[in-house]
Amino acid sequence: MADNPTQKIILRFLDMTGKKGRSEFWITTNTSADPLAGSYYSTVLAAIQPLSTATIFAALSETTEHVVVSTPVSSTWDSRDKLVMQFQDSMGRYRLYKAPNPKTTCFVSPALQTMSTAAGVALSLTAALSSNMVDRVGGAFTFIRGYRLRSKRLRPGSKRY
Amino acid sequence: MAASNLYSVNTIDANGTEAKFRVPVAGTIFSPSAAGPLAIKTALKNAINSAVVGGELSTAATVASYTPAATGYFTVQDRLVLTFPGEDGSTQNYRIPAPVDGIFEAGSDSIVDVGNALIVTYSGAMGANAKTEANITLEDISSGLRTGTKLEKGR
Repeated sequence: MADNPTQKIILRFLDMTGKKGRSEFWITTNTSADPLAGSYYSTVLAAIQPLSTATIFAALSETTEHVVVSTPVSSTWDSRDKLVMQFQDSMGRYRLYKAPNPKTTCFVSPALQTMSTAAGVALSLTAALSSNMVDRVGGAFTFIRGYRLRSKRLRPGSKRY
Repeated sequence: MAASNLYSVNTIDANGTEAKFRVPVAGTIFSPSAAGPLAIKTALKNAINSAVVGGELSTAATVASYTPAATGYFTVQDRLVLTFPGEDGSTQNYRIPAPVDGIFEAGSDSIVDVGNALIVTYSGAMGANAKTEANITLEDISSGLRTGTKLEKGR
């Protein structure tokens, strides 16, 4: 998948009552540099702040890929079922990452509750995560264990698990 | 630049239910199709029954801020809606919360004076730097209005 031609910049505002608001705009995608460190961003930021009495306290950027429509595989499990992978970051803190709608081959049969550590798709996923995830101080993650979990009901109004 | 950025993979199952898989990746990665995110996405696709329908790479930064003022329209429920035409003829609306006073036409507290110096500066900055979502250059601001909105919780 290729990146979309524009990146979204989101400016977060805080007013004097403590309420938060936002303003968004788009810039041309440049995937070789931090979009929040470029002149495209800073020039617009400098022009927006004088128009608001609220302070801009944070900025986010979002770079998205072209959406590809493919057909999901039907199974007895769905997005509520998760392969939960527990990792430990470089500061010793535990983090959980949840892959939705996992294949049954990710788990040890017949109970299908514990992640299989035999060579296979689950082990490949944890290896890819261990190799590419970086914690907030730039350190690596270590895989600890994996198990299955089914999420609770969706919150009212939400369509996403 | 943060030490890590957030990579999200969007998935959808056979029932049409969406789910996201979010992991932190190196702060030097700015593209969801870079090698690291691609390796994660490929491994995830192989391990799940849902379809992977795209991904996002998010970065974050703090901004040197000042104390919010109790002047003008000082709550974020008040917003400017500023309209720009794109060079392709499209209409683009941009919102700025809690607008200052003194940028409106004489006798009005809601219709933006597009000749105001602050608005002209903003319009120039947007025209030179911002794009439409389809990556089309913006023309000069055409109109602006102050409007009120219902505050969204948790924002």
